[in-house]
Amino acid sequence: MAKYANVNELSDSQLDNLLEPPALVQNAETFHDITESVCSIAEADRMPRSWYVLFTLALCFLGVLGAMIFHLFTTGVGVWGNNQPVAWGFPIVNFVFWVGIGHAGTLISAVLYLFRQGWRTGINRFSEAMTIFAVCCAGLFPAIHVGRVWVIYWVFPIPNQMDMWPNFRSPLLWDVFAVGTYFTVSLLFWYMGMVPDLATQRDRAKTKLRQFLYGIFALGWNGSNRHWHRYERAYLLLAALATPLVLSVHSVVSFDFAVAQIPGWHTTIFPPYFVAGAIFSGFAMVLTLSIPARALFNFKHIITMRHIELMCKVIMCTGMLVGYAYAMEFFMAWYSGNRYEGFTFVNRAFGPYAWAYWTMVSCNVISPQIFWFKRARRCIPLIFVISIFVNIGMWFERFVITVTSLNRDFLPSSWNYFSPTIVDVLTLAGSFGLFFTLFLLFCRWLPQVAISEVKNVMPSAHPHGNHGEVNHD
Amino acid sequence: MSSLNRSESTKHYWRSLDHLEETPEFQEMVAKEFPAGPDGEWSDTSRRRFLQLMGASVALGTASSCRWQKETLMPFADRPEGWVPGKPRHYSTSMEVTGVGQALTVTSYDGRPTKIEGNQAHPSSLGATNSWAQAGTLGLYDPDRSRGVLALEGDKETPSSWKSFSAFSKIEFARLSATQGEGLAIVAPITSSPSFLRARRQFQKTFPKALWVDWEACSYQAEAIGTERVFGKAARGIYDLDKADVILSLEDDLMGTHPNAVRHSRDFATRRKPEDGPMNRLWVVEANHSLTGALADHRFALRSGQIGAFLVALEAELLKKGGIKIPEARQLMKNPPQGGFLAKDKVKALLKALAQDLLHAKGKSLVAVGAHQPAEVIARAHRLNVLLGSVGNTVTYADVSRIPTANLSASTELVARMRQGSVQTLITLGGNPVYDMPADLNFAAAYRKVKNRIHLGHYLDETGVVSTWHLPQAHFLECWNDSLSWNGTWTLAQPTMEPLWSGRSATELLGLVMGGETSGEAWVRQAWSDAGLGGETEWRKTVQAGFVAGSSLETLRGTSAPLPLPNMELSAWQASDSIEVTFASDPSVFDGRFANSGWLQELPDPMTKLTWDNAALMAPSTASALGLTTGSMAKFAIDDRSIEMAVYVMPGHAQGCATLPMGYGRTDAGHVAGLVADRVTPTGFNVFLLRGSEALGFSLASVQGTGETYTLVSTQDHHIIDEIGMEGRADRLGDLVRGGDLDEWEQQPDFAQHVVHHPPLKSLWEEHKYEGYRWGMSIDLSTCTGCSACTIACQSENNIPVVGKDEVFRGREMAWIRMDRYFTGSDPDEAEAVHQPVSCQQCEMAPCEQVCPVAATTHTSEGLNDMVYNRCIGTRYCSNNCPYKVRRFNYFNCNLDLEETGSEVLKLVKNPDVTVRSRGVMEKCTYCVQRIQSARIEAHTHEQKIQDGDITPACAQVCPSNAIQFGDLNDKTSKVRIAHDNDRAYAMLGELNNKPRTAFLARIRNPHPSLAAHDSQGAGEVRHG
Repeated sequence: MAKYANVNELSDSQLDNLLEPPALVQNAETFHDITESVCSIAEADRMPRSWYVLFTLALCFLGVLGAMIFHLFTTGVGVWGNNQPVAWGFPIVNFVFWVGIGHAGTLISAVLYLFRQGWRTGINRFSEAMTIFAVCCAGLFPAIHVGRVWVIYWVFPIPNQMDMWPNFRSPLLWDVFAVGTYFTVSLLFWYMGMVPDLATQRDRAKTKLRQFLYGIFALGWNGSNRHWHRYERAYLLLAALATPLVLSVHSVVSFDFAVAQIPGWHTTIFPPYFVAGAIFSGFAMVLTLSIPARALFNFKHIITMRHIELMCKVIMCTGMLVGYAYAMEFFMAWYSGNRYEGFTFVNRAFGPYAWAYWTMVSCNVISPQIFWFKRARRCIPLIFVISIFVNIGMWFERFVITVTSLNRDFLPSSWNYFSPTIVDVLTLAGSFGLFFTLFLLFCRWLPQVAISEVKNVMPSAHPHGNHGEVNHD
Repeated sequence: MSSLNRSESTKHYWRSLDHLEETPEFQEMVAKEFPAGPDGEWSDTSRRRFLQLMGASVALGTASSCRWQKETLMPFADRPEGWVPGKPRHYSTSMEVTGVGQALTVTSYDGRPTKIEGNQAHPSSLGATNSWAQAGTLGLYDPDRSRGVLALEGDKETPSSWKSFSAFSKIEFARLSATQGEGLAIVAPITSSPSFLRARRQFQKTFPKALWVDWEACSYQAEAIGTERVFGKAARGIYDLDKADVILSLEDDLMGTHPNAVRHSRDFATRRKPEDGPMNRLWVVEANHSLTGALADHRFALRSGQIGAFLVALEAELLKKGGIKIPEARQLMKNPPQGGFLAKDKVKALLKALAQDLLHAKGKSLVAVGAHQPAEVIARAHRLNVLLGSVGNTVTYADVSRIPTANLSASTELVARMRQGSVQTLITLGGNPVYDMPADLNFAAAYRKVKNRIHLGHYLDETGVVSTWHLPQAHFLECWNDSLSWNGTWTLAQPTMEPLWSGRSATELLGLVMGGETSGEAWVRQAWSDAGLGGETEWRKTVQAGFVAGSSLETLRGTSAPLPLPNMELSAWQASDSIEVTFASDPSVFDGRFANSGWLQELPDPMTKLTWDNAALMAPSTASALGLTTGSMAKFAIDDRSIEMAVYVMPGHAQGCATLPMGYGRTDAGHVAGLVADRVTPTGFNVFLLRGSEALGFSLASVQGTGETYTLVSTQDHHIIDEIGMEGRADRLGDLVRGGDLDEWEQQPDFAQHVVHHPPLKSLWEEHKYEGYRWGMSIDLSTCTGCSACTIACQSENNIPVVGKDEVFRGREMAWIRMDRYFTGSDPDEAEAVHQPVSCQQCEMAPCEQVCPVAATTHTSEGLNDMVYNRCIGTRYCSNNCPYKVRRFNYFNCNLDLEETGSEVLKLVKNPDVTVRSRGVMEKCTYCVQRIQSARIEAHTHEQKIQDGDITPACAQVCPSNAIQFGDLNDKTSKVRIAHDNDRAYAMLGELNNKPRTAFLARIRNPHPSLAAHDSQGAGEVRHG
């Protein structure tokens, strides 16, 4: 215990020197401190001014999204820049981008849970929420991108009077199942993990309405041993269920491309490459969100420098993985001896979309290399900037894959340049509006940190010392 | 008149006391109940309002106005014998362009013509047509067509009627006939119609002092003058391209814009299949890179003004070889043309080989020359045919002295008279002289001095708006007419429906103003009976056949008269010089008369692939010397006339010159091609503002870039392709468009199948068996001329919408069959072009079928790759996965114009057998599945199998060179199976294991042995194993 006594007086670096590994929760003495700092946000009458500013901004963008979708539905998908041969443009790019972001949530919650990575507790709720909202944004795009949105339900295997099933050979149908499953499991996982915390908020609620609403969602949780037992079991099961989804969702999304025979799409490297990319972008987005959030809501003791540093390492590692994938794609294009494949990759790097390609490479491969330096991994502004870079780079990765492969495929007579319209750009911006609106609402009303789990990794939860069970890095 | 007011007769019954007393209240009630007819409404209306009212009422009445036969509107209960509603009928008719008739067969559904085909029995068509004829139905239903007689005064347009015009003309022409037509003038388009010419003679008898001016922008006057020198009379060369072993075209676009191009293509094609016998050899010398140039075995780019010199040099070369006798031999031998471009080794070798080739094939060679060349060049070229003994073998010269040609001197005379004020009445019989007369004549200004300006036209066009009377002209599908086809076959035109908008033909108008016969049928019938061809039975048979079989023009024998030397300017062009501009007819809109057709505007130019615009075509080196590139605006000036126009860099174009296609920049064409009054920007640039009477063919002009740029929109190379793209394209071209030289084929006939080698392809699943029919198509690249008639035929047959310039710019054109055009060769100035029509290949292992999430595109048991429109949700995944990119997506509702007030008439152009697709739906070639189904029904009723030839998709039917075959691949004797079994057949991108059902047959060229190594730039040379 003494080890942690004077922790308040030490700087981050001094802590590092003193403690190996540093504590996952800092500046909090008791369980109550944790409960207090998380629940007080939802209980506060007013939010920090910056929340209102951000929320208004997010709502504006959401409005733009609504307007764009209305325009789209009333006019036709021609409002976008899509053409023949580039029949998929921004909407599919955005879809893959958002699905990728939605990846880190499950990874952090489930995979790290199964591997008993205690450091996940500070950020898992956060990233799970991010997952749900990102998948919401992702799901929006395939739905609105079809030509006849009013019959979109035909993609679901619903028995019908036409006696028609969807085509089970189509990767788009696999997408429907993969993303649907992922969303369902992620939502359940998130919600289930939140039940004890919702009960805490219910118990602390002062108004009738809050008591009622939190009460409904807390599902009668009373913290009994039996409840905890069942909860832990179910959580473990769901984590086990969700883990393969981490691999499956983005693999299936990558099949949209890999199963097609267009040069630049038709590659077996896509599933692992997409998964690595998704983790990469997911962690970047967690950083982009958590860095302002920990400042705004005073969570620095819960989401510590150590969390951030670890995430930087993950970003650097997955960044190199995608870099490897980019290089391997080129190698295979050359090694295969396939003229069309070879051309596609040369064209990607040096053709009319070279600017997009090199934006992608700079953001995804080069910029995370700075995290080799410890000082960089601890420099918050720098990390924030890099995380934004990675987000941009990963969006461009999907752009490069989708557009540069399509714009020059087999027959040169069909080659054409794709340029987005203003509607394309505003719809993308609007999807951020949707995402941030949901996210800010989450920050306002729900426990942003898994209170019960954080308590679990505090030394006070282990009065008999660390059994080496929780704190592995 | 309401029945309530009709009370005078007999007893007066009344309904109420109000009625009896006719109180004001009652009057008001009556007025409300039975408003005054159109007379009251129209008394003070604008043109727009008039058009709206006319549009609405006529569209409502259209169904009833489309009659099956002249007088009948029959209930189906009392159906005429043999008449099945909804079953198409076919009528023979014809269409005339620049005095040359094209025989057609029109498909009509319940009195509504929807599709035009060539007349199979007619020698000038043999079942095929060009794109203009294909677009005829859209022209018929064009909502912009004039919908009634208009009396115009200044800017004021007053709807009038034929009755008022008749009343006017009765007085006016009675006055004129008293003065024998003093002060009367006629501007008539060129026509060979015997019935019209008969009316004309009668008219000239009635008004002997009237000035008759034949005018059309594409003049054959120089040809008439030139041929007269050799044949004694104006003559026309009727070429038998199937008999010619060696063909030299001196800037004559034989397979492109030539009036007889359809028949030429058919004949030419018979000699381009190496397995069918000895191939011919085509030599082309031309400035612009034309379709004929693209087909050439040897093409030499030379500016129009030097073609005459080239011809003289060729004569000298022939003399040197001692093969011909020329009157000017001594002079030529003593002083042979030399220097300039003739000094180049390449040209020397070319001339030598060409002379050798012509002499070798003496009697089986042919020289053709462009009609826009000066008369002395034309004369010389035709004289060469006489000297080489081709006349009677590969070419027949027919006497066309009775067919008028555009008459420049008469036009000049007319303008002078108008300016003097000595013309009081001028009738324009269908042309558009305000738009297309030589600019220096300033016709428009002089025209305004004429008191009575009577304009007969399809549209209220540039001439119409400045006239005093505008009379709607009947479309060729609405009236009786006749004409002579290129070979002189007398071809009839019968109406396929009553005139939609009360239009009349030029003959009928002449009849009206003469106070004579006003029925077009009577005129045609009269001409026919005058010829003594028989009675009623023969007449009916002739109308049914559409032409008088065996009719022809008188043939002429030429002489080898001495001829003056043409312009012998041989020097190469310097950047400081003026450049030569050649005025050319446009393959899409011709001289502007077809400008308001959306189909033709959106039809990519076969060579430039430009849509919705024309551009000044220039060689790459010329453009760069002038600091211009594709899309640069340049100012062209001749004397005090100038235009600003966008430039298109055309590989293979001759240096030091530019080709300016006519027919664009229309200010009063309509809502498609430009209507400035309604703020519709004209498409393209009007080159008539530059064209002067001093030279209608080509002329020197100064050029200067203006520094501005213009967005030219093409369906291929939408954006200028960078270095990497060009390398990638050149690298793969040999795989996609396979071809080779004749000796390569002789050594290894199946060389095309060995261009790409790949490991054995295996199937992921058990494949279909196809035990019944197995539909397939073949396209012979050796005979395809690239004319693009297939694209329009498909558009007409399959209700394919027009999307407009902006959407084409975005890459959303809808053509189901497109004509891919590639250039080959290392020097862009000497590039060669190849064409490849690409439509859905109906792959057996179709990539599109596997990826559609809702199974909207599926495979039939006969191997068709079906597209189920009403199942499609529009994910566009199928299009992405299609390696041929032949799928087309309805990004918007492309048929919204059908709902617009006044445009409802456009609905009539739709083929009732084909769905009109909605927004958000993918579409593509179906091999004309509706035709397959109707053949199936037909075969089923006769309890037999579908025979080879029973089904012809629209593209195959229209193809002038018979390059497209369709049929059952399971039938070993079918034409398509034979083509698939041909050694030249290959599957494009077959290595993808798609198993396409369309086979391409490799393009074989026949270069001269002495030049084969010299310019081996054919598509075949770019191959990489």
